[in-house]
Amino acid sequence: MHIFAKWWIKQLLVVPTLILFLIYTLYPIIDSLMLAFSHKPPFKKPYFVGLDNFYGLFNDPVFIIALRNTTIVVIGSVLLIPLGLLLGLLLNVSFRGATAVKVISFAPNIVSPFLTGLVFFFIVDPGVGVLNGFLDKIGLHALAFKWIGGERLTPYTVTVLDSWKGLGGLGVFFYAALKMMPKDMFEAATIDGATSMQKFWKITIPMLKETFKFITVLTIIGGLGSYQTFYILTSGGPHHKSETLGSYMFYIMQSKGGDIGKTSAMALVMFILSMSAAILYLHLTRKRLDE
Amino acid sequence: MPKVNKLIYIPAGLIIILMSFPFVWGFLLSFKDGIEIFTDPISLPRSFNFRLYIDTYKESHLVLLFKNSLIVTVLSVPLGMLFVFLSAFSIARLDQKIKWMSSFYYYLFLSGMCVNIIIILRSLYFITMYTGKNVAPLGLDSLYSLVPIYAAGGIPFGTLLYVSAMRSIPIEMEEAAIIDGCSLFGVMFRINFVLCMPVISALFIFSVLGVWNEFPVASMLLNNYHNYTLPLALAFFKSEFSRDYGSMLRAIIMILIPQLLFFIIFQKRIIDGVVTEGIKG
Repeated sequence: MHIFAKWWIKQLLVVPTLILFLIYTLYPIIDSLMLAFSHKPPFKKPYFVGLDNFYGLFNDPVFIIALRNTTIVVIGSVLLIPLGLLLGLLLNVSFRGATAVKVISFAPNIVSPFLTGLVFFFIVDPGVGVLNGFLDKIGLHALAFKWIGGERLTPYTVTVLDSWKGLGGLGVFFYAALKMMPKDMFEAATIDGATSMQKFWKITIPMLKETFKFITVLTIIGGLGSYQTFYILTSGGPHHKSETLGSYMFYIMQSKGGDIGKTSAMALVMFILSMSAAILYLHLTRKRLDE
Repeated sequence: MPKVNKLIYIPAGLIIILMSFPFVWGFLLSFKDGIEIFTDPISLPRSFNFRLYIDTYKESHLVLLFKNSLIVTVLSVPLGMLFVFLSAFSIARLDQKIKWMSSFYYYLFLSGMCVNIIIILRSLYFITMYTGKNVAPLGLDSLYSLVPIYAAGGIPFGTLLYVSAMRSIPIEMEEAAIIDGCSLFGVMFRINFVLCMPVISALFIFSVLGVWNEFPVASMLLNNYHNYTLPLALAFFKSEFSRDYGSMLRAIIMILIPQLLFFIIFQKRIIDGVVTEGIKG
């Protein structure tokens, strides 16, 4: 870190990014946070109301539903992370066609969640979808639940869908992590007579701790913001039964008389949750800048 | 050399089926017209009628949407990447007089990572509105208003990737260049840039895909259908073609194919990019 450069050049290099960040990221966050504590009547200036917006929020049954749905998605997505590990293990074996598997499983990841949501609509919808149609045809009518649009199953279905979409990404990520692991430990263990299972649980898993932490935090933050699949499949479900934090905020913002204090309060809640996850991660890893 | 256990092909095959089935099904389904979809959801289409595709294509003004998405992507991705490259170079390599400045910038930009776009959606709307009063093309309902927002969105992730990549370049290379009389910009572009190429291309691809598929901001800022980007139109289709599922599917497939092609062509780079990031993570 010791290339000599004139002082003003050093600052100048950062300036464009800084300006962009300040205007389009930092200021909006501060603005949003401040609005969370104010009330803004239409066409008038906002005024401070303290925690009133939050009282309103927690008394709003739809908010509670949204919170519940979002929590289901977050926890579910985290629980499904091991599937990505399995895929990563699979990819680690070099067999013909491994690249094809890699590419095909990664493909859904890069596509908009709207696209995958819409495509899944035709599988999962109780009316038009293949799933229930198929279950009916083979006589398992009892299993043909209302995967989406019903009372309770929607968040679970969406969790599965979102995890499906991300599976390829996780698989490749774990594949990379596995490739990075030094082989000598494994060889030493084999010499000492360890079985594959022992090697897996006692060497592989502990070495993946850092990777797990990283992925978990990203999954949590991503899950908190999950709303696109919900939106496409159910537009918030019958009478808001399948809203998430994100989709509910979106809904309020779309409706013209939207209560801005409320959306901002929700935004603040989301922000706090995301920050907590990030801070937790930083604490657990305690990365230092100059390694 | 590990022996290939033939059994591995079973889970491999299952994965391929699992991950591709929805798309294959959507593709097959898209050849049905609206009525067939309702009456007979689980069978194969009666005929592979390409005429339906042409009809949907005309109805949706696909080329216009494509052009809009392209404009936004071509403008915002290089701009954002350039800015972040410059600032990352400053953070990673240049000493500041005040010792903690670099770290400060680094963490500042990184903190953007936990900002879900929904949180700042409304503020972005009003910023764009006010900007529009002074600088018209950047106002509401203009594609160009999306450009700085998307560029700003790339800052946290870009900073993370670039700074790690730059830090892993041995300082001796740069020192050697300086001794040989290289200017600062020379070092920056001729050495750093070239050595960071894998990261740069990975970031480029991710940014392109991210901007191309972006929905919330675009939907908030664009009103006129003629200005829509592709993802917006997709959501619009669901209400527009609300009962005509066939058209919806055809539109989806038509939008999907360029993306998949892009991905297949660049897939090696993309996956290598994730591998690189996996190492850093």
